[in-house]
Amino acid sequence: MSSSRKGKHLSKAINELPRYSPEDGLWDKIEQELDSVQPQSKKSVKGWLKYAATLLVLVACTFLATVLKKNTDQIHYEVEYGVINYQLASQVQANAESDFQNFISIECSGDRHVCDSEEFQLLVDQLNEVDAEAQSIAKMIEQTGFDEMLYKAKSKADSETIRIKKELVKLLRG
Amino acid sequence: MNILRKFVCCLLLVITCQILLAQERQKLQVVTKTIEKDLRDVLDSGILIKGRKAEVTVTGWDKEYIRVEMDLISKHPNKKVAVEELEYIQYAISKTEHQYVLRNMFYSVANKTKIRSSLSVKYRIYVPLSQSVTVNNEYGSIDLLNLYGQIKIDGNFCDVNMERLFGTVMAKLSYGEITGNHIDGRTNMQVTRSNMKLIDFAGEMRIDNEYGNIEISPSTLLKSLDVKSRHGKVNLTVNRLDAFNYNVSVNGSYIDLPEAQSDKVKLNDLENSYSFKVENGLSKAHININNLLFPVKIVAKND
Repeated sequence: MSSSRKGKHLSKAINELPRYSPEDGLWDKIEQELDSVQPQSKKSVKGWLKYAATLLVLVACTFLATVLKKNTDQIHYEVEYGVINYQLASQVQANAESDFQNFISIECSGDRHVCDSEEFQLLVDQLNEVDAEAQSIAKMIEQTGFDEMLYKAKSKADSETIRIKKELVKLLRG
Repeated sequence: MNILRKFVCCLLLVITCQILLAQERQKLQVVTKTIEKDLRDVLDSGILIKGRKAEVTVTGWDKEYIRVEMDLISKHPNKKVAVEELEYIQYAISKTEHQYVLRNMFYSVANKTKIRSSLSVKYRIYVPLSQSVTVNNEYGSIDLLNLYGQIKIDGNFCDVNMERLFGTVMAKLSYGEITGNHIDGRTNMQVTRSNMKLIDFAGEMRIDNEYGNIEISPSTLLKSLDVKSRHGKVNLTVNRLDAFNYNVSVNGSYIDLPEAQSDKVKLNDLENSYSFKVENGLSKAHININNLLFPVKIVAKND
């Protein structure tokens, strides 16, 4: 085959090849896509930063919770069986004290030697002292409620009052 | 038949008592606020606790700082009331130049509001063994355990318990019950209208008592015991009577000794007093007891 014929065949084959042309706006699309894609390395660092921040927040929360638990007041709720708010009957007691003071006044209204004795005066002073304690207990009951602790204190003061009164009566009877 | 009738009567009585008791006792809601603090500085005068209606427990421990745990407690059948009134308990932990000061107060709008709950406070304090401790309290209790430093107590209407105290103890107590076990060192107690029981104590012990009964049982390591008492019984228990020297006197009452020694009690008719004076050796500790109007009883366990 001569070289001129080969050239004709080649020209014909080239002319018969399919022709492609890009769609309209293809380059714009490619440019947009390129703009929207961030470099791979930058994306990786930001991701790690997010994880680190989350971890930091978690650690901080745990630490705060521990510290708060340690330094803040803790409140517990329980149930128990007991007795509170006994009947104090403070008025009755006050009346009884007043009655006894009247009794002493009447007994000592005459010129009775025993009422001037040191022993008698000592007992009267003691009675006043215990009475002051009883009033402190009554005030405490107002402030904190009447429970076993104050019931015990009141019993102690009452028994002292009774003992002193007995001794006073004994002296008055001679 | 009679036995059966008695049994039924007893059973009825028990059931009635149970019903009455059940009515008396209530289901109480207990609300407790707990405060915990570590006090790290070591201060010369240690710690002062000013309690009111508080149960105070101070324990010596092997650490170099003070740990404070406080329970503020409110009790009422209604939980809401208990929670509300818990706010009426206040506390303060402060530090002066030489001392930590802990205190609690009860406050209800200038005390015009009547409290419906029962309010109280518990202190649990751990201190270095040789720390100075001062406790003031009323209407509660004081427990002191394992302490070697200077200890001062001022209690009114308080039950006091002391165990293993080895320093200087100064106590002023009234209207309470006092117990002590293994106290050694220098102890000075002023006690009024309180009953006291001290067991196995040693060192130097001075007791000034009025209107309370005393039970004392010194150990053989006692150095000296001085008791001045008025209007209260004194019971002294020793292992052997010849382990100590005695100078005991009683005005207006008598001295009760083991039978073998009873002839050593001397009566002074003029003063209406009895005395018991015995020297068992220079190396032995002196026990001096003086009582007014109430007896002194001495018991020897192993004679």
